[in-house]
Amino acid sequence: MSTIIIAGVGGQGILTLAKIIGDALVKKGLRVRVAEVHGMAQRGGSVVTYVRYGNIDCPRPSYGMADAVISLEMLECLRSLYFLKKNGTIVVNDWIYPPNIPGVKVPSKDYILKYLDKVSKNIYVVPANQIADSLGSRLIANTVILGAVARLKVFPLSKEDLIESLRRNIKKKYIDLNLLAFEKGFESISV
Amino acid sequence: MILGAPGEKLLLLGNEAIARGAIEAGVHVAAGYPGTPSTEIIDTLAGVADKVGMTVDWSTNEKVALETAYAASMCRLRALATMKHVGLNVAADVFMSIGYSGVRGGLVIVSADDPGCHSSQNEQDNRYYSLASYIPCFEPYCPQEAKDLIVAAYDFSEENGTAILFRVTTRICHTRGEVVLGEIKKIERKAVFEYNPSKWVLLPANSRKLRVKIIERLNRIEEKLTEFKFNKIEGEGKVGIITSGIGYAYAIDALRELDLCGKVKVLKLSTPHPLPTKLLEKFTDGLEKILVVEEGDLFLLRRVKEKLYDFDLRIPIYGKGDLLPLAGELDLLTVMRAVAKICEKTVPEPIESIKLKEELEKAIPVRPPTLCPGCPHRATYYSLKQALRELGLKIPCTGDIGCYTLGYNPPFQLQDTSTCMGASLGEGAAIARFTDKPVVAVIGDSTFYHAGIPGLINAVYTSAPLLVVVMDNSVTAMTGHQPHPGTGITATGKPAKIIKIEDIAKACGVEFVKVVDPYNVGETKQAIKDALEYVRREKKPAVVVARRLCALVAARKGLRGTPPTVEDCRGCMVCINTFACPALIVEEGKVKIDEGLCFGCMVCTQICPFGTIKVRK
Repeated sequence: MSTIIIAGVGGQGILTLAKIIGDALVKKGLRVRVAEVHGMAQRGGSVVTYVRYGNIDCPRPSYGMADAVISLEMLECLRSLYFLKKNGTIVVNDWIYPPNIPGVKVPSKDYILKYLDKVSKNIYVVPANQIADSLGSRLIANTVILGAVARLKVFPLSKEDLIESLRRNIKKKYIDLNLLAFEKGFESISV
Repeated sequence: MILGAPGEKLLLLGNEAIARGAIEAGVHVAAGYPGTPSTEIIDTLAGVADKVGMTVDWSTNEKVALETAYAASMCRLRALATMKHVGLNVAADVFMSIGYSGVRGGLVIVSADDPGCHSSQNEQDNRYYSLASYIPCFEPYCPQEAKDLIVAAYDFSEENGTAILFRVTTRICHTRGEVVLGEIKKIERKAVFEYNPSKWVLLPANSRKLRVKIIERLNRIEEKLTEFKFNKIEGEGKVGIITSGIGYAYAIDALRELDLCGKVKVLKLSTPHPLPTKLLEKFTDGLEKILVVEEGDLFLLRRVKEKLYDFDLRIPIYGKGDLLPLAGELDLLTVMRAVAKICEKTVPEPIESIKLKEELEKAIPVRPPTLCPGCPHRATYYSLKQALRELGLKIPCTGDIGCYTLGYNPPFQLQDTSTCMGASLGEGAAIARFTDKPVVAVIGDSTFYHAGIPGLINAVYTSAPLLVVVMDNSVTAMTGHQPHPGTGITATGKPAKIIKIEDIAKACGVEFVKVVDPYNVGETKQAIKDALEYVRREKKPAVVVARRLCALVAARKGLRGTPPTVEDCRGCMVCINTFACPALIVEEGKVKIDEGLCFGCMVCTQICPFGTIKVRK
């Protein structure tokens, strides 16, 4: 059994990312639970999804149970870090987005990386926003991260499994752009 | 996808699984009011309604939704009503009566409870409604069972002449899991109203007789539930775990983590009320202690305790309130600890992770949900706040349920109450009368139709000095943009008559009614000031409708404007501190526009005191 946390800020396409992964896992014949949160929390707030698969039934994990934390934003990565097992995998978008509170103080990137380092040596910082922007849309940063995740073999899924799922779950007119983002994300990781 | 072939295995959201179950069961009519975590059931059905020949409604409120479904049942049709847990409070009047009358066509009422208050004002456990109404409660543990149990619920409903309360929680509704699809039944039935006054007319004379009948009915149902295939006993041992709904998923994973599978006796229940006595008696025979794992309140624990008394069995029994916390959602570690405790095992404690969480909570600022860039509510709040300031008024602002509840947060802080749907009007008018000072009530469009109108009539009737600001973004936004009576379309996308809020206000007897565009700050502020002066002078209610389409919907329709430019920002931070749009960002003491986030509403150009935020030429 495995548990993966997918975190970020409402509006970044976290639920879509989790759905693409969950769908690919189901096609592999695995028992899957993808736990989402909708409604109020989606309006620019913190969003955390849990992806669990294998011999499991409970959708909601607890402290230190996750094999990986995938985050589309650095502060949200930190917020979900307590789920991670010692030396679990961290895949994080190289982006800090301060909460929309007047006068808010946020920790620096150095501070965040230092903290991540305390918990794991398997940290992959992906410039997903930068790559997405270069392709013309911030909205595909989630797919860039998916590409990186494919390269890192976070899930028992091949690159092709994930691409097929991407095709099933993304609107036709956006497919080409997403495939490009996926490739760029895949290439961004050197293994 | 939702209409896939039997045998196909899909990743479905719990709510989609419920929708598929309704399709498989041949449901003819489905009605609901949007509310997290229930919304996607009707959303999904609305998308395929015409294909499967189902009537699917977004009703004005939950009471009307349930009346619609109940009426379908009176006409021999199979019907579904969906709502969030607090929605059943609104529909409780008709719900309790259905407990007496029973049904003709199968009737299932989905109550989506929200333990942990992800998106709700409370954590009420609606299984108690089942107890109070004599309507059986079914509760699934995963998306697959949610689908299968819905199908079974319709047959059960018709066989026993009773409605079924189908209780789900956030982690069922909003969890995706693999679901194997079943056969879609085609139940051809013509809607024919069945005349049966002694059943449908709840005059005291009829109700007294029905009361006797429903007690007998519940006893018969209870006996049948011992054989119900969704209730079962697993494993063996001297320690027993009794679960209901998703409690089973937590319990079984805890047993897996602790390597105790098969060594503990588990009673998996999908029918928390009525409790199948014989099955429970069989299960408890020879047990030395019991743990009850359930999501929500200690409903099942209480019921099991009563039964143990009847069985003359005095063994320790634990659950919510002792080994499991009463507040919030279940948590796997907490359930593992409870299971370990009764099995006299130890759980390896994740001390480092617990310490890490505590440390990080101090180090990272919280990220509360916020109004979107371009949100018309932000613009209305800005004008309201400025109008109150310019008039030197410090008055209560009663709030309501919707995206605009976020006006509670800085910089606006204009939600002094937020209780339930429509309460801004009932409470606001009363506070205004009792304190003899004006009050502002803030309510959204969908909420106004849902429960605002009686409060408005009462405000006029009692001459309350109340300013009602209707934040009309022309959609039920918070739940994901469902249509309502002001939008001109139905749940299934067909044209409908637009019922205008200003017309309703006038018809309710409000003499000051004004409609403004919140993107026009000057106009909106002036209208609010005029209305407040009217309210103070005349001691009567006034209504200002601030109408502008939800920015998310507008963006989807391609109605995004061009972001403004900032030239020579002086760094006064007025826009940041009084407007706080997420698209306004500060770099080195100067304000910039995040063009990726900006919607182009141009409200900030009207706010900058130095005119440095400018419309792009």
